[in-house]
Amino acid sequence: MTQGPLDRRALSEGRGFDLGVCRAMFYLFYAWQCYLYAPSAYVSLPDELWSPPFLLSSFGAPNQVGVIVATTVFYGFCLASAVGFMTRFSTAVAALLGGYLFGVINSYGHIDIHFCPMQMIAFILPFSRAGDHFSLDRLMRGGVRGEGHYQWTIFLCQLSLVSLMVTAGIQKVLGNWLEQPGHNMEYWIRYKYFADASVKGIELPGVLLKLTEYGPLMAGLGVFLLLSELGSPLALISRWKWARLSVIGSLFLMQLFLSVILKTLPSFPWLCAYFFFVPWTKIFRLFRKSEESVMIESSSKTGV
Amino acid sequence: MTERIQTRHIAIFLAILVIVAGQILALVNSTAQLWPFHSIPPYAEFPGDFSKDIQQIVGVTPQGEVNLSKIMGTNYGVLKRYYMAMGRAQDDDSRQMIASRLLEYVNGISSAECSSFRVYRHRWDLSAGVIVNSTLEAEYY
Repeated sequence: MTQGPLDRRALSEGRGFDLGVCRAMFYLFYAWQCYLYAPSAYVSLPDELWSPPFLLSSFGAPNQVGVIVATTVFYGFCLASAVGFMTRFSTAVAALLGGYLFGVINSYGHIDIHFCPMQMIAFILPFSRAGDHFSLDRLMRGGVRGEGHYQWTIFLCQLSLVSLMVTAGIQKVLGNWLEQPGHNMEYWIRYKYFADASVKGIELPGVLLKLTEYGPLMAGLGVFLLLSELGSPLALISRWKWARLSVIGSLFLMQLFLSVILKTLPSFPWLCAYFFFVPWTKIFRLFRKSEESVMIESSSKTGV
Repeated sequence: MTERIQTRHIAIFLAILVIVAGQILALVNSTAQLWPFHSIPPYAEFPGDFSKDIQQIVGVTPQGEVNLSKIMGTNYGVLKRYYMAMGRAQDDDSRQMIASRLLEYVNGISSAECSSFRVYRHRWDLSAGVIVNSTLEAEYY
C-alpha cells in the first residue's frame, strides 16, 4: 500500500529526541520573548482601549501587579518545561499563562502577527509526549513509558508556521502583488527604508536602496516571495527532500531579512517555529562523529 | 491496538483541521478575534505612485522635539498601540485622554521630560526619499 504525504509526514512514529530538543529550545525562547516584549508595559495603556480577542474575552483590563505575578510564574514554568520537569503539567501552565500574557499584548487594538505561531505551538505541545526524551522526567523515570509517537506534534508545530505563511501569500494575491511584483517590492523596501525607519528612529543599510534601482531584481524578488509563501505547504508534504529544504530555507531567509536587516522587531519571534524543521538527531550524531574522529586522530598521533 | 491507532489518527486529523480552519476563518473574516489564528496582511501595497502618508507623534522637551521610538526602545509595541488609538479616536477629548496617558507613560519610563506631544502628518516621496509635505495636526499637553 502506498503512503500518502500525511502518512509519511504526520502519522509516522518520528524521533522523540528531535521533539525533546525542540521543546527545550522552544520554552527558553518563549520565556525570552516574554522578557523582551514585557507584557506589563502594555498595562499603561488606557483601560478604554482594552478590546481582547475571543480567547481573553472573559478577562477585564489587566493590572500591573497581576501581570507581573503571571510573568514571574510563567518564567518558572517555562524553565520547568525546558528542562522537562513534570513536562505535561508545566507545558500546560506555560501555555495558559503565555496565552494570557501575549494575549494582553494583542488586546489593545493591534495584533502582532509575529507571536502567532509561537502561541499556537505553546497550545500544541502540552498534548504531546514532548517530555519523553531530553528531559528530567526521563531521567527520573529511568526511561520512556510505552510506545511514543512524536512526528504528529512536530508536524502540527510546522503547520502553525506554514498555515500563516500561506495567508500572507493569499493576501498579496488578493491585492496587487501578482500584477506588479516589482513595484510592490520596491515600494515596500523604500517604505521600510525611509518612512518606517524615520518613525522608528532607526537606520537601515544603504545597500538595500541600491538594490531597488534594479527593476528586474525587484520583480524577481517579488515573484520569489509570492512563490515561497504560496508554496510553503510543500515544506510539509513534498516527498522530495530538496523541495522541502528549499521552501523552508527560503522562508527562513526571507523572515530573517525582515527581522534582522529591515529591523521590523527587536527580535525574531518566528525562529521558534523553525526549530521544528531541524533534524536534531542527525545534527547531534554529526557532532558525535566529529568528536570521535578528533579523538581517534589525537590518539593515533600520541600512539595511545 | 488498531482502535487506539485509529483514534490517534482521527485526533491528528482533527487538530490539522482546527489549525487550517482557524486560519481560513481569520483570513475570510479579516478578524483579529480568533487570535492566535490570524492572517498576515501585506506590509505595503503599491498605490500607483511612490508616495506615502504617515502620522508621527513627537515629544516636546526643553531640548526640542524628540523621536518617541528612541525613548521607548524595545517597548515600541506600546507606542504603536498609542499611535493606532490616536488614529481611531473619534473626538478630540478621546485623543487628549490618550495623549495624557502616553505623556505619563513616557515620562515615567525615561528622563526625557516631555511637556507635550505634537502629531504630524508627513507625505513622503519614496522615490526621492524626502518628506514633501508636513502638517502639524495637533499638540496635546
